[in-house]
Amino acid sequence: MEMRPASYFVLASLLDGPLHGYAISARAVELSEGDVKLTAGTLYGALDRMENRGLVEIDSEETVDGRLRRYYRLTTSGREAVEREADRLAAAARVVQVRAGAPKPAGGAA
Amino acid sequence: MTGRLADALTAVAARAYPRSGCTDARVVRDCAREAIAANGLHTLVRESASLVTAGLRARVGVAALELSRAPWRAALGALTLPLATALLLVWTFGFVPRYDHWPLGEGWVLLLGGSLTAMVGAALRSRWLTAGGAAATFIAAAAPYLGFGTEMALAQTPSFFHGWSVDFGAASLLPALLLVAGGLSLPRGPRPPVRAVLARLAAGLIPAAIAAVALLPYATPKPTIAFLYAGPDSAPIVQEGPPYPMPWLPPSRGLLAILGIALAIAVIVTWREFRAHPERALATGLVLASVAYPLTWVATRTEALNAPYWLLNGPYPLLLAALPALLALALMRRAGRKQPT
Repeated sequence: MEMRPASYFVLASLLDGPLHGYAISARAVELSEGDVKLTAGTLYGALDRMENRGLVEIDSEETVDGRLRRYYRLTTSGREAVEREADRLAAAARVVQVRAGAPKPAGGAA
Repeated sequence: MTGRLADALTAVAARAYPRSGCTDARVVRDCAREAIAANGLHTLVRESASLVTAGLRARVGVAALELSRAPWRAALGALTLPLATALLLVWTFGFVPRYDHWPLGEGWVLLLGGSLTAMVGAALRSRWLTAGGAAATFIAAAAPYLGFGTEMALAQTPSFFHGWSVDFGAASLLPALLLVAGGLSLPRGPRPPVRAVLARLAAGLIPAAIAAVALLPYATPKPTIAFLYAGPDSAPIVQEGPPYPMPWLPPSRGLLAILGIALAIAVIVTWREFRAHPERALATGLVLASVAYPLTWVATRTEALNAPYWLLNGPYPLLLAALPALLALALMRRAGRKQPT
């Protein structure tokens, strides 16, 4: 099933290990080169849905400078899902790259 | 200054979360505060708005969970006797002023017979008797609006949308359907003991019997009065026709007071006893929801309230009906909060 860009980059940001909410948001901005900007409410809504689908799970909670941080980590099925989506996107990109790189037929369409 | 403003605004926004999700609210709010501190004050409104949206979404989730946990079947079963009693009372009030109309006509036979059958069925805890009686009442009450059993045009049908009158026929439609569902939800099993059946029969019949006895001395068939206007400047010609053929009740303050007081007592008692009897709270919520619109219609037209004229017309009664509907929803949610173990 096709994955939304926000969900894709949230899962991708957790590939290197558990992160808390704001760190996930910042990493998603970095990985998507600014395309995916998530507010706190949207991010945690997405994380809740992913948790219900078994893609991520809560790792731990800690208080830093009086702020409560909740860390999330990828589950095995979450890792498989993001890798599957990466393969699908790569295959879709290859279709265009191959055709864009191929020499155009002379004289236009027959 | 920026930090304080962010703290204050996000604290207010986080109040959109339900009380049960206070840890979630704190996590999301602290995340929003970090984002504002890192990205600048221009993100304050966006982060606060997203906090409110997420909080409201969490509230809807909690409400849905509570409603899904509520004892629906037991509640539908619990409302059968009180609702059947109320319907029988309503149609007794409607019939008695026309008692000398003979033959009764299929409409009144269905209304009186159906509501009496439903009440007896509820007393006996009989599924099909209750549901069948309620279905007959519903069909008889709904038929005139579809043009059956009346020669009057549908546009002239008295309804909530005309002046100050209350159309009990239309007001009884949703409760009658609720009673059908209640009848079908009654548990299968052995009949209750005779003493219990007799007590329930007495409880169901007494209000209608008292009403009939009290109303009989005043029962005079009322003719249909029509005002005919020949032109804008001419005085109306008053025409008297035969008594109104539809199962329509003339507005009765006595009946409205009885039904209103009974509903108010039910709301207060079941609200307070929701832990011991969640099914009763849910049943009251369902009945209140089914009469939310006529209740609003009557309440806004109560003289003591002295509501401004504009509030009585247009979309306002419908908008105001949200208030009893919200109270009904609160009762239903309360019923889902605690189930007897």
